[in-house]
Amino acid sequence: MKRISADGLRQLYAPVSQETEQGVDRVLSALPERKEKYGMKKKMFTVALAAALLALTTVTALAATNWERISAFLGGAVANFDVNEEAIVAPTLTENTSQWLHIALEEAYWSEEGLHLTMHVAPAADKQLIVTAYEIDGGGEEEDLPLDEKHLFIGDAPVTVGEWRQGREILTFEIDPGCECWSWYLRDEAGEDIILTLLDVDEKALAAGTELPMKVAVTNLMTGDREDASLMVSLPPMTRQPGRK
Amino acid sequence: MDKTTFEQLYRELLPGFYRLAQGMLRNAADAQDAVQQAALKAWQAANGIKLGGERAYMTRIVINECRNIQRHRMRVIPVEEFREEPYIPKDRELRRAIDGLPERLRLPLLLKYMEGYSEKEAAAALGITLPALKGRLLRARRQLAKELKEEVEWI
Repeated sequence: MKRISADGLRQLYAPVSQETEQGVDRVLSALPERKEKYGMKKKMFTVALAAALLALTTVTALAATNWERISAFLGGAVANFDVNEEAIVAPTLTENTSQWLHIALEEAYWSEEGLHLTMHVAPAADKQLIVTAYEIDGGGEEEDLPLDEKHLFIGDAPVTVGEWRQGREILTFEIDPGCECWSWYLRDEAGEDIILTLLDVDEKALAAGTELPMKVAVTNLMTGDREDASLMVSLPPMTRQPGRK
Repeated sequence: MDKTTFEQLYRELLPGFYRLAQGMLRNAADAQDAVQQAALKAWQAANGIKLGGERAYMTRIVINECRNIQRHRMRVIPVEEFREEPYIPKDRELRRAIDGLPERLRLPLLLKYMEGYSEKEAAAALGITLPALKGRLLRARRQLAKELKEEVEWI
């Protein structure tokens, strides 16, 4: 039996070198004031979010004229892309077998980093709410607590699941695009906005226009029931754009 | 978050970020680039950091920066190459076994067991759901035990 501790693992990697410390110090000591440009982008994002909420049932139509989601996210400080808004396209969801989730595709953009897709996910039933599982402290120190006593991290301060759901059921979900991807989740009152970046893409297919099958696993946390559904995303021909600046 | 608080926090978290970057990039020089670039990007994004979620958010940026470096350099570093690193860990067999795990299994393992992240925090840092994280941790532990040819007790 091999015993592995956190300290033992840490000793597998070199400690921070003086050179690294100095390099980080140089960056930290020269941090610029935050650019107003970023603040403006954040404001634009808020406006876009509000617009999306107002027109939730017609998001596909909205997507054709409203490209702020990709622009705000990819062009923002984290991703730092030069976004070519003319290359953002409107994907369509040609199949969604989920009875539990409404899923609306918004925007698609192909960059050197991969294929970026934004979508909005909301529960189909009024009596239900959705969370991404990582918003509930299901691991670590709260692992053994009853669900309603666990904390949710969805606002400025944590609330218990029981306080938040107020008798409604909670669904959690995972979207699997079938390849390596990373994702960002942005919450609003109606559900979750997701930005998926698919890292392994078929370049010829994207250039020609293609369909991407995806899987969705939804779990009702109150009953333990699970729904396995499939999506089909249809993309018009796209042109690959540069990635980060 | 003001600049002084940010600087203090980033310095405090730097050792863990640097270890994580080495775990991803298997190369100290690349890891150094990643933590430096991530410092600037994390500051630029600091307005979006949720109270209590600072470490997960910054970790996410470090991971993205590592991935950016991986993609831009367009090379896959073979496990053997880490032997050329000037730092020789005491337990080389364990390091080799961990480096041999695919990244999707290696990162959850390092975040939880090396850096002490809660599963929720590790999932947030990786941008995956908690069930996905738990599944990856399980597979990582199994695969590591198989590589080491003995059972592992995590303490």
